[in-house]
Amino acid sequence: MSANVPVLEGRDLTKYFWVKQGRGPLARRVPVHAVDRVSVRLDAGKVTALVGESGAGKTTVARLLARIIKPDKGDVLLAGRPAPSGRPRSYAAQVQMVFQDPFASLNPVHQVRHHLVRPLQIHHMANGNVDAAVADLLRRVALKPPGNFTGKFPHELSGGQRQRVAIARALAVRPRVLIADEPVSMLDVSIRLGVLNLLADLRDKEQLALLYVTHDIASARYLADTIVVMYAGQLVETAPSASLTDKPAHPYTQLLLSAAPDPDRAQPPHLEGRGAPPSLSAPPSGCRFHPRCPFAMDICKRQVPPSIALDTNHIAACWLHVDPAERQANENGQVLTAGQPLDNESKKR
Amino acid sequence: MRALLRRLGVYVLAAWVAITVSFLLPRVVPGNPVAGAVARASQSGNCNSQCVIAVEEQLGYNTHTSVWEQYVSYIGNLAHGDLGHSWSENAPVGSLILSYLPWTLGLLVIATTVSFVAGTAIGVLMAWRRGSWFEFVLPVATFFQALPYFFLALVLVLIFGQTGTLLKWFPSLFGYDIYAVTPGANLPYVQSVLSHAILPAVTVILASVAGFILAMRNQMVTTMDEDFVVVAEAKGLRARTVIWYAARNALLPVISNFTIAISLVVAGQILVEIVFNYPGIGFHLFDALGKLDYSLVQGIFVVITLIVLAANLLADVVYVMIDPRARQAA
Amino acid sequence: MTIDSTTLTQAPVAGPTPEPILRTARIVRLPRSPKVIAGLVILAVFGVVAIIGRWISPYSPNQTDPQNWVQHVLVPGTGPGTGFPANYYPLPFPPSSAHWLGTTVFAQDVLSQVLASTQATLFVGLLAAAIATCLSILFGVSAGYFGGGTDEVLSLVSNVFLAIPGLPLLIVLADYVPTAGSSIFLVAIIIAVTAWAYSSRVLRAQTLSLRNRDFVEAARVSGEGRIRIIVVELLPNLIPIVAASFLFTTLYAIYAYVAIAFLGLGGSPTSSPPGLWNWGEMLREGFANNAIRGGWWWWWAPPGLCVALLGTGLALLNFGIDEFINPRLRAAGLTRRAAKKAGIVSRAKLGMTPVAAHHAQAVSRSQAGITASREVGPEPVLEIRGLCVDYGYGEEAVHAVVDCDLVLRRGRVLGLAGESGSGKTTLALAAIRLLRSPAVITDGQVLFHSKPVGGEGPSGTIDMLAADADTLRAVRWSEISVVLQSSMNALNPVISIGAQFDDMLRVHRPHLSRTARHEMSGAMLELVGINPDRLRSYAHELSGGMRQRAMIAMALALEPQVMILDEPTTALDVVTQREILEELIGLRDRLGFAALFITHDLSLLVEIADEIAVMYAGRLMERAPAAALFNAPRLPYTHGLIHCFPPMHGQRSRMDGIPGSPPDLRALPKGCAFNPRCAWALDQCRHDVPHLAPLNGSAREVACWLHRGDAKVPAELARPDPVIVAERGSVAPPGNLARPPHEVGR
Repeated sequence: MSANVPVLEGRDLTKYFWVKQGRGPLARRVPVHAVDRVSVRLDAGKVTALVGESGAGKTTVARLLARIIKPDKGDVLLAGRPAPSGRPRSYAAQVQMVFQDPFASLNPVHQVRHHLVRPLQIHHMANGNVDAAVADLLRRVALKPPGNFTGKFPHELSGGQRQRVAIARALAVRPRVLIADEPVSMLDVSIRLGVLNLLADLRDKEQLALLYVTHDIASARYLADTIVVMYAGQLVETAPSASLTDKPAHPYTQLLLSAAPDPDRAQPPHLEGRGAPPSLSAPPSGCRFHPRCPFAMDICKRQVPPSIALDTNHIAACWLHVDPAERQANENGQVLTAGQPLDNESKKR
Repeated sequence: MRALLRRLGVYVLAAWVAITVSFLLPRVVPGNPVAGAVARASQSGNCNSQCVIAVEEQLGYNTHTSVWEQYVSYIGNLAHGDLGHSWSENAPVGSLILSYLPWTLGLLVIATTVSFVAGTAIGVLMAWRRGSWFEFVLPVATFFQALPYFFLALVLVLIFGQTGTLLKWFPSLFGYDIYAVTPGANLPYVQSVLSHAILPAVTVILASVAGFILAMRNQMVTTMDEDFVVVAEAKGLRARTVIWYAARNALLPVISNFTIAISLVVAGQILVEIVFNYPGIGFHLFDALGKLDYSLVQGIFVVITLIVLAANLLADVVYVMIDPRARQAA
Repeated sequence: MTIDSTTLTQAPVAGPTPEPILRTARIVRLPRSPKVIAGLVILAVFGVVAIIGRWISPYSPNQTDPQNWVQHVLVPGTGPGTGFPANYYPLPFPPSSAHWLGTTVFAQDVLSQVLASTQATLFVGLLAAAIATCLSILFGVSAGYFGGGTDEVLSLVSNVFLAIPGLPLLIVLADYVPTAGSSIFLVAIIIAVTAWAYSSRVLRAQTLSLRNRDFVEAARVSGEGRIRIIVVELLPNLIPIVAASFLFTTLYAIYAYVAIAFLGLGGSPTSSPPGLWNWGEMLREGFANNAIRGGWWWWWAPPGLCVALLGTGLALLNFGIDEFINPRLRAAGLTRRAAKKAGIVSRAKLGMTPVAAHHAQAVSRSQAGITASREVGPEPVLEIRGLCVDYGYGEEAVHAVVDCDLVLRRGRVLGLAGESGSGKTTLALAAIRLLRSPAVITDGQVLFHSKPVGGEGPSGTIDMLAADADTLRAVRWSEISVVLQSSMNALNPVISIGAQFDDMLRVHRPHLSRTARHEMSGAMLELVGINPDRLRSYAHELSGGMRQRAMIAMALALEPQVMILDEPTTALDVVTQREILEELIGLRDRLGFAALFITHDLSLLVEIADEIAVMYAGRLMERAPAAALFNAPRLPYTHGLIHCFPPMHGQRSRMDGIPGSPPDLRALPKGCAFNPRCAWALDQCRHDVPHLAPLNGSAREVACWLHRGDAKVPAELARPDPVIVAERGSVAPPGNLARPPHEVGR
C-alpha cells in the first residue's frame, strides 16, 4: 500500500448529541455540539494521540472512527475508501477498540475465555483450534501462562490484567486499526507504562495503526508519533509529538503544556488562559478558545480560524499564524456582513 | 413546567386508557357476560328484573347504536361529569360518589400521611442506628408488609372491635353509629365518626407503614455512604443536621416511587372499607359488584383512578419542589 | 416496595473508602445470610405443601359431615316447651385432634381446605409473576436497549399502566370476565396485565445503564449481533433484578388473587363452573358467615397467616437479592457482639470510627521513630503514631493500614503518595476518625496539638482516638478540615451552596449573625475566585472545578490548622488542577495551615509538597523531603514509581515502570510486600518485614533491607541528596537532572 494513503481517516467529522437535562421524571433534551469538523488520519505502524480535556470530544471522535456512532456530517475512509454504512463485520474485522475502564469493558458474568472466543468465532479466525488461538492471544498481551487466565472471571484479575484481556480481545480479529480510548487512565500508576509499552510493541511488530486517546500529554509524548490536540469539539493543533511538546503553536496547547505536572520545572508555571471550556450546547462563535485566549483578536471572535501549516506536518488552527495582511483582508471581507452578529454577541455577554 | 405538563399528559392518557378498557371490556368479551353475571347474581338474590334491564342497558345490549356511538356518548357524558344512573340506589352515580368520597378521602389522606411520615421517620432511624436493637424492626416490618390489609383488619376487629370477641374497645362497623346519632354538625356525630375511623385508619397505617419503613431504610443506608454525608460529618455538624442531609436526599427516590405505593394503599383501603362496612367508595364498589350495578362500578373505578393519578401528580410536584435538579428542568 | 428503581440503577460504589481491594471482595454470598435462609425455608415448605397437599390432606376440602363436624345449638325460643319446632344452628368446632384446624360452619375441615388452597394460590401467584416478568423483560429490556422512539413508546405504555391503580382495574376486569373466576389461567393473565409495568420500568432503567457500559459496546465493536448481545451479554447481568422483580410480582399476584377472591370474584368452589379452593375464598367464606362475630378465628386466621408467611418468605428472599445488588445494604453496622469480640470501646456510631480497647500499645514501640524526626522543621500539629486500621473483624479482617507513623508540621505540606489500595486515604481519614465501620482502628495513637488560629475552638493536645463525639465535632472542620476527591459528591445536591456554608458556620461560630455568616461565606467564595452570587447555586449548577473550589472555600472558612486534601484535583482537568493547586499554595502561604496532601500522582506532589511519604500495601515505606525523595530515592518502589511518569522534555526513550501488579491486601506476600516486584530483592526481603527507620542520621527514613546491615546499596538508590537552596520547593537538581526551564512561547 502506498504510504500516502492512511489506513483509517476521518474527514470533517461532525456530531451533535441530544443530552438529557435534569433528572427523574422531569427531564428534557438539549443539543450538544460534541465534535465539529474534525479530521484525523491513522497510518500503519504509527501511533496518533488525541489529546484534550474532558468534554473536548476525544472519545466521540474515537467512537465515530470505530463507527459505534454515526457522524452527522463528514466521512470515515478505510484505506482510502468510504467505510460501509452501518457497522458490518468486515469493518469490525479491521477496526477494533479498547475502552477506558477495564472494570466495565469486560462482562462480569463471563470468563476471560468467552471474551476472546467470541470475536474469534464471529470472524472465523480460529481455524478450528479455538483454545490454541486463545492461548496465543493471551501470550501476545503478555498474560503468561495463558492457562492461568482463560478460566478466570474479570473480578479475579487486576486492573492491568483486565486491560490486557481487553486488548487481546481487540487483537483477536487481527485488525489493522486499534482505537484505544484512555486505556491507562483507570490503571494504577505503576502498571501504566507496561500497557503503553504493549501498545508500542503492537505498533512496531504488527504494524497496527493506533489511535491513542488521552488527557495526559506526557504519556502522549511518550507513546505517540503524532499528537492531535482538541479543544471544545474542534482540532486546534496537529504535529509530530516532539515538535508539539517542544514548540507548541496554539495558545491552548501552550496552556495545556504549562499546566501539566512536571517535576523538573524550576519555577511554578505561569498559566495563560485560565478558565473552563465553554458549554457545547452554545459554543462561542469563531475560535472556540477565544474567550480564554490571552492573544484573542477581533477576528477570533468572528471567524473560525483556518488550519495553517507551520512546518512539515505541524498544523495549527489559529489566527495568530495567519499573515497579518491576509488576516486583515479576511477581516475586512467579514466586517461587511458580520457587523450585526458581532453586536448580538456583545449583547449576550 | 414543561416536564410537569408532560407528566400530566401521561396521567390523562392513563385515565383515558383505564376508562376505555373498563368501557370496552364488557362489550367485547366473547359470549354473553350478562347472562353469566345475572345467573350469578340472581343466585344470591341480588338481581331482580329491574336489575336485568339496567344491566343490559348499561352494557349496551338491546340498544341499536354501535359500540362507537355508545363510546362517544359515554365519554361525552363523563366530560360533563355525568357518570350514569345507579339502578340499585336509583340515583345519579355522580352524586352518590360525591356522598361516599369524603369518607374515603378522609381516611386515605389521614392514614397515608401518618403512615408516610411515621414510616420514613422510622426508616431514617433504622438506618441511623444500624447494629442496635432497632434492627429488629426489620423482620417485623417485613412481616407486616406481607399482611393483606383486609386480613389485618379482621384481626384488629377480632381483638379490639366491638363486633369482635375480645376487648371490644372500638366500634368496628359503619362510619358512625347509625342507630344513636344523626348526621350533621353535632358533637355526638363528630365523636362517633372519629371513634369509628380509629380501627380502619389504624389498619391502613399498620399495613402500609412497613413499606415506607423498608423503602426509606434502604435508601437511607445507600445515601449515608455518599460523600456529602461523610463531609457533613467531617464538618462537625450536629447529628440531626447530618441525618437531615441524608434523609432529604434519600427521600427523593421514595417519593418518585410513590406511584406504586399509593396504588397499593388505595387497593388495600378498598378491602378495609369492606371489612368495616365503612361507607366509602370501596365498600360501595363491593356492594355494587354484588348488585351488578355496572354504572356505579364503572363510576367508582373512574373516580379511584382519578384519585390515584392526582396523588401521583402531587408526588411529582413535591419531587420538583425538593429536588433543585428537577426544579431546573421543570 | 421491596425493590426500587433507584437502588437498582445506581452502580454499587464503595463509599468514602475507595479501596478497590474491598470492592472486589464482593462474591456471591446470597445463600449465607440468615434472612435468605429463612426465606428459602418458608418458600420450600409452601412449595412442598402445594405439591403433596392433596395426599397429606386428611379429608377432601369439599367433604362435609353436618352431623358430626359441627355442634348443634338450639335456637333460643324454639324446641320443646316453646310451641315452636326445635330449630338448631350449627357451631363449628375449634381445633381438635380430629380436626387440627377445626371445622367451618358448613361442617368442613379447615386444614384440608388450607392444604387444597395452597396449591391454587401458589400456582396463580407464580404463573402471574412468570407472565408479568416475561412482559416486563420484553418491554423493559427492549425499551432500554433500543432507546429512541421504541423507548419513548414502550416507556409511555408502561408509565400509563403504572399510573392506573392495579387492584381496582383488576376488580373491574375480573368482574367483566365472569368466567375468569373458574379459570385460574385467566385470573393469572389478568393479574399479570396489571402487574408488569413496575418491573418493566426497573428493567428499562437497568438495561439503559448496562447498554452504555463498555462491555456491551465492546461486544458491538467485535461484531456481535443484537440478539446475542441482549441474550448473552445483557440478560445474565440482569438476572438478580429479574429475580427480584419476579419475587415482588409473585407477592403482588398472590395478594391480588386473595383480594379478588375475597371480593367473591375469584370463583367459588360451589359456583358453576366451580372455582378452586384458595386462601382468599376461605377468608371470604369466613367473613361472610360471621366468623368474626362468632369468634371462630380458626376458620379465617390460617389462610390469612399463610398469605402473610408466604409473603414474608418472598420478601426476605428479595431482601437478600437487594443486598446482593446493592452491597451497601449488606455492609451492616457493627453489631454489639462483633464489637465485643473485637474489643472495641466505642459504640458503633456514624462519623466516629470505632477504636479497639487496647489501642495505644504500639505507641511506645514507635516512640523511637518519632523522636528521630522531631528534630527537623516547625513544631508538629498532627502526630500519628503506630496507627493500624482493619476492615472487618477477626479472621476476615483486612489490614488496610499497618503501624504508620506520620508527623504533620505547622504550615507545611506533607505529601502522601501511593497507589490505590495502599491505604493512604484510610490512614488520613482514620486519623480524624471519619471512617465508617467495618473499619476499625486496632492500634496506635493520634495526637492533635491544637492552637486555634482565631482563638476559637479547642486548644491543647487532643487524643483523637480517645476523644468523645463532642470533642471530635468541635475539632472537625474548625481545626481540621477535609477536601475529598469527588467534589461532585461532596456537596449536598439538594441544598444550596450558601445553605451548606451556613449550616457549618452556625455550628462552629454560633455567635455570628445571619448576615455575618452570609458575608463570610461570600468572602470565602471570592477568595477562591468564585462570584459570591454563587451562594444561591446548587452543586449541579457548578462545573467540576468550581465545585472543588467551593469545597476548598468551605474547608478554609474556619481557618483550620490542618487540611486533609484527599486527591483534591485527580478528577479535574490539568488546567483546572493547576489553577486549584496554585490557589491552595497561595492560601497556605497566607493562612498558614498545614496540609496532608494525598495523591497517586508523585510528579504533582513533588511540585507542591515539602515532605513526601510513600505508602505501599498499608505501610509507610519511605519518608523524605520532597526534592530528596524525587531526585534521590532510597526505596526501590519509589525509584520505580518516579520512573513511571514519562518526562515532558528531552529524548524520548523506553521506560519500564514497575513489573507485576499492586498487591492484594488479603493475600500479601511474605516479608516485604514489594519483594515480588523488586529488582534488587534480597533473601531477607522474602522473609522479614522491614520497618521504617532513619537513614544514617539524615532527615529521611526508609523501610528497606537494602539500606540495613551489610547489603550493597544499588547505585540507583544511592544518589546524593540534592542541596536544598530555599526553604521549600525550589531545588538545585544535581548533575544531569538540570534541564533548561521549559519555554512557552510563540
